[in-house]
Amino acid sequence: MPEYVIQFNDAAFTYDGKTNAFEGITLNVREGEFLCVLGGNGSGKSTFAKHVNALLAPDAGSVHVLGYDTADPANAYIIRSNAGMVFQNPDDQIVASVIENDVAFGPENLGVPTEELRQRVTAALKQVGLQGFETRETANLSGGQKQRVAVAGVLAMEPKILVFDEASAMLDPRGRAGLMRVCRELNDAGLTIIVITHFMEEAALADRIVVLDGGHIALEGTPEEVLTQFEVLERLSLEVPFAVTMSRALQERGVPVHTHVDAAELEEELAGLLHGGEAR
Amino acid sequence: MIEFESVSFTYEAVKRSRRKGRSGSAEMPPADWGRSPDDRWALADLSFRLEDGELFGIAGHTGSGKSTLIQLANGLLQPTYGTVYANGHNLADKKAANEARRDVGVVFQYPERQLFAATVYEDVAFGPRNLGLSAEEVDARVREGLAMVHLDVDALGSRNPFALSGGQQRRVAFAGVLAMRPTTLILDEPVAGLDPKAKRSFLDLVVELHREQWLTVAIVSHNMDDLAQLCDRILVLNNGHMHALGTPDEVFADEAGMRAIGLGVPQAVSLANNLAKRGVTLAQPDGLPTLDSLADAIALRYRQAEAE
Repeated sequence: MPEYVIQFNDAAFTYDGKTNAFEGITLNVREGEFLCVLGGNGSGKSTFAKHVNALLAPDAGSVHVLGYDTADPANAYIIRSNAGMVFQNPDDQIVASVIENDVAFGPENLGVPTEELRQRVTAALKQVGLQGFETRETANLSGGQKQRVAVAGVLAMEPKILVFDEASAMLDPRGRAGLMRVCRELNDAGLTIIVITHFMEEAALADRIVVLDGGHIALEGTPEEVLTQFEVLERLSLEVPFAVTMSRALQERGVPVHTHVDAAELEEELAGLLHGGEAR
Repeated sequence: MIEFESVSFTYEAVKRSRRKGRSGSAEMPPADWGRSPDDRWALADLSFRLEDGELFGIAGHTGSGKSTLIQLANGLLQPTYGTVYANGHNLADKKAANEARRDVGVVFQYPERQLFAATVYEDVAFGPRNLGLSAEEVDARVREGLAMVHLDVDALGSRNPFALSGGQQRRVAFAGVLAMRPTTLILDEPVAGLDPKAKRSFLDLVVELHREQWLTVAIVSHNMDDLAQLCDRILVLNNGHMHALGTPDEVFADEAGMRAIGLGVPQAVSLANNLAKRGVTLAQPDGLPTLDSLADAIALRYRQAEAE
């Protein structure tokens, strides 16, 4: 196993041969890392995602996944069975009418024997918190449940990397929270997770954030480093987390608080600050 | 004005009546009505009025009955029990329901998925043309609709709508609804899936249409911050039942209740409530705290504490 599970080396890609969807992308992802990719529409986020499982290969530079060069068609099979993707629309990803059949679809096509298939389906549904749902109809599920079935279908392939390409964009807050919890747990279990999103609460959960703008990496760092860059986020038309905006509003009013990404931490500091004042 | 009077709806009654080959429904609810544990009621005994000129919010998580409500409001569905009125007309009447479909413009979720024509112009022209209007009138409506969403008919009219950005596609779909000259607009999660910039400008557009064109607007959203900021009143649905109806101040006063049904409250409200729980109560004379009013109150408290 190479040191990095995903390696982008000065990669560039163009859809039309004229303008680059992204260029000069150099990025290494460690095994077990939780990476978030942010960017406005047209920033190159989805193009990036499609490179991770060799749906696209770079026109210049190189992309290696688990050490395999994505440009070599002979590697596509092994890359795709190790790097699973979950897309935006749950309805586009469900193929069967019963949950267990849907989850079994991928590995069954690989010729996994029946007994192991059963184990994989059970294990995958457990991982996404849908144990006991095996024989339910997929049509009756909520959007969030459908997305978790889609995740289970990918997990049944026993991948090493999972890419969520705006997978929560169509979910309500409850569905989104459920999907993020699943992401977190899978990451704790050792999977490398890449989340592409507009939602800052999701970005705050990551180990590292990469912000794309016009096909370039505009910012990179921990959530604290990236999400506190008020001016840059605004310029790239990204949402600034509430706690950061609030921290800034307070600083402007002369209240000496740190810039927080997490609202609970801001609350903690404010409680201390204001109580401290009262005690004197 | 749209009025719901004790409206209940179940999709099973639709299935049943289709099977029997008749429309219409029983007069009286059954005795065990609403107590069935298997959640068959998409909407249960809902009464409210969407007043003219209002900017009205509708909140509720998936499966709460929001989409059913929208389809009842413009006569696409008929209530199992109860009555829906649009501008005073009972929508059980077919003629009234037809008119309601024109007066009440619905922008469904991901409206750009319903784009179908080869050009932007043709897509927006589809509705007005179906009204049987003259070519000149159709042209006027297309220009008007596109102008209202700030798209330039000369620059974009002949373009393929599918070649536009996501935000622009959504505006084209919106223009198609506006070209029908509705008096009321219902928007089902109009900014879902848009990036923050496109989202902001789309919401600004909705507010502008409300203010300048006097459109009555009902907006369905999961984002409590948006609803608190935009709306005069908010209807909160939970499992087909009315959970709350009132001004943002009234609705978001009960944070625990809103959390219990999977929604929550605006972030500034949540922070203010959490600080209050820790004994830091901040005066909010103007009602619901916003980011700015809360920051002002905290700064004031901080300076007072410093001075002591």
